Amino acid sequence: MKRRNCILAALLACSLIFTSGCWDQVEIEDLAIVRAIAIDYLPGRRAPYLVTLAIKRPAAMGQQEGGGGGEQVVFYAGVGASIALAIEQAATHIPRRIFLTHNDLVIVGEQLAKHGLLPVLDFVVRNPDMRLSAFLLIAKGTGQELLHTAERLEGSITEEIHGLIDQAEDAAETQPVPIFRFLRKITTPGEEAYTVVIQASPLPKDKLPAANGEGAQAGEGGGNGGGGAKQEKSLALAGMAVFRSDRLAGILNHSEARGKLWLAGMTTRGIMAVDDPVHPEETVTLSLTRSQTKITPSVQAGRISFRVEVEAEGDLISQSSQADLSTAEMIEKLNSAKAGAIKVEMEKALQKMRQLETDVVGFGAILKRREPKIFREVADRWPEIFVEVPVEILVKANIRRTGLQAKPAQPLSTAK
Amino acid sequence: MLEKGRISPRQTGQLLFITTIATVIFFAPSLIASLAGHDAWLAALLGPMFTLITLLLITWLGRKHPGQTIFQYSETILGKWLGKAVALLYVWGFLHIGAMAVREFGDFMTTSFMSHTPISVFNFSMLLLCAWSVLVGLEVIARMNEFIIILIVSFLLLILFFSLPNWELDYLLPFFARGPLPVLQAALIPAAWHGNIIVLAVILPFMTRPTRAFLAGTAAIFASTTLLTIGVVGMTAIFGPELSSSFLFPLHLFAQTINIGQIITRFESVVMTTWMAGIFIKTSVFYYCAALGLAQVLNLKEVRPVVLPLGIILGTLSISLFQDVTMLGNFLKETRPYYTISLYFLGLPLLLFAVTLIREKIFGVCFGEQTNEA
Repeated sequence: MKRRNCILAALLACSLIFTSGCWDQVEIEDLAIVRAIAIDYLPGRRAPYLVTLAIKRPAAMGQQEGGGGGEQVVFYAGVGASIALAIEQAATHIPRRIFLTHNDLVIVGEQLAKHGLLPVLDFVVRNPDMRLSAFLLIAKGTGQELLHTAERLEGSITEEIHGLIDQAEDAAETQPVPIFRFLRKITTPGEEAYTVVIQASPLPKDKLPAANGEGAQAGEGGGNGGGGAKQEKSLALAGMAVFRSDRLAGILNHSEARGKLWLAGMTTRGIMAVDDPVHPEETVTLSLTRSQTKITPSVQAGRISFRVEVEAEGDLISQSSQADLSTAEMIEKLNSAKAGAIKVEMEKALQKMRQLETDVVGFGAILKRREPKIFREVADRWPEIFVEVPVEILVKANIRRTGLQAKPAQPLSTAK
Repeated sequence: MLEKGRISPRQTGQLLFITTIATVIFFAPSLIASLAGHDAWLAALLGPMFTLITLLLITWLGRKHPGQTIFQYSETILGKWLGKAVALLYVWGFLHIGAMAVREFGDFMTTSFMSHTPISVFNFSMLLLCAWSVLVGLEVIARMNEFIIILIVSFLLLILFFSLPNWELDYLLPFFARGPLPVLQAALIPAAWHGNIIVLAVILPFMTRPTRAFLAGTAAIFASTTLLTIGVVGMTAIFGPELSSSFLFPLHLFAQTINIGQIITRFESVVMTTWMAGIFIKTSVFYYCAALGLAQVLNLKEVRPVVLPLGIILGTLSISLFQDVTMLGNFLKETRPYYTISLYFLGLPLLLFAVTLIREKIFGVCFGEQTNEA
């Protein structure tokens, strides 16, 4: 018995050698941890895919606080006839093994998005290292340029993008979409996919002169243009990229994107402005806290139509006039003004979607759920039918609270 | 007696539960979705209908022939040579299903986790462990399973729970849009895995209370059906039926979608643990049944001499049965349900049942019951 235990112990000890694996052995010191991957398309070339990998610099690991401005990610790029080949080419320059497991940003350049996202999606699903919960972002311009934007607040550009995404989950009109949701939308009949656009744009303070007069632009290009070349850029999530199948159809701006979200029934947070009911030249700012959308398809004599009912709640957060808006009558007026503003946003979004012939709200999918037989007849022609289908929009808005003051404080001189 | 250990009805139920759920939840969901679309969950729920027939047959046969395994009573019923042929057919069946389970495991490991490691490493190390558990006997497997079941069930529930924020139940609609036929056809797929309950025909005589066999089997079927149905509902709600049917291992991708606050992510390794533990129990049980069967057919005094040869056959089969993962997928979807159900899960038990009835009613032979075993 004792001898048997000895043999067993020896066997167990031997197994320790193999627990780290033989063929797939991984040492953390040998890994190049990819934090973001940007994929671009270079039209007219035999190797059209340009892949840029943002790799965390090993020295930066573990001393993130005291880095003192050192660059935390290093970029490597490669081109190839497929994404995997491009990565392979980049790998020849990287002294470590590419480790994609910690990558949760997939940034796709505008050109590639227009060309079609299928190669990207295929790569992500097939490769066991990539995760389906990674966010898909469409870059205005190329993804590579976007990654090369200088970071401002965080230690690295990838951290900066992460921060933007985290914040955007509250702001909702620029919702980043994980890849599995995108995939689900493009595979579901009667529904098209969308995701967020990311853009490097000049900071508002740099924009200001341009707003004052046309001279600013010429000035930038001319003699005192030193500032123009150095113009700092910062990243922003700038609207919603909508797709037709796997191809980029167009980009919705902020208010259109919010209109789309009203239609799709996602709770949107944010603020919007309406005219003051007493002094129409002033504005009242309202917040949006909660909303509910109901879409009902109806089919009468073979004619498909939809009815969208939205109920939106929110608070009054500021007013620029001194009128007392805290009366029932005023609130009623504000409610209908807000409902009107929401309806305008929704109609604009719908108009844009029709113009781009892409049903990102998924009216077709809703029809399929309620009336599967009717949808089956029109499924093949759905994009054409969607453009002409009448949609009735009904909005009900409620202002629930007025912040910590009911009516504006009245300075003595103007009080009447 | 080849097996001295005894297992309780509860342990039997647990063993049956793990042998079915371990593989069905990994492979079946996407196959079901590809046939039944939005109604995949309904198909998953209907699957056990077929299995209950099998269960009824084998518990009835077990009661007629107390203390005998299917290998022994097929001989009692059909006579020496025909009976041995049926018993050998079952030995082959257990080997085949066991080899498939090992192959599924190996393919999963090489595609999802360790792409550079040859599949034989996974298959043979798994079989080595299984061979050991077969040598120590059924009781040990059953007791080990009592621990493993906690691991598997809690991990599966954990994955389902954490993925809840990603569910969109709208994708389950429309309900019953394509009519009953695709649903019934798809229901055969989970049935092919639930049919694994046939191992009860081997382990039934080793139960402390064989009368509870039917109860144990039913509980196992319902538990695994429930878990499978929840899994299928979740998969459809996360991916939609069109997308999920394109996946190879939907549960693995299912776990990939989990992302709670950037912290609770990457649950794939949990999936791997569950899968590995489950496959271990499942293969051990099938390996055990095959070894016991062969020993009984050959009238051996103990199981030991056949374990190693069978292990080598299993290992070789697990590698040579399928050339690639596409072939495995097609076999699982198109051939396996019809082959296993018609032969092992329904065909042969029905034959034994019919012959027993005919011999009793027409020829007046009286089987077993007079021994009155407690």
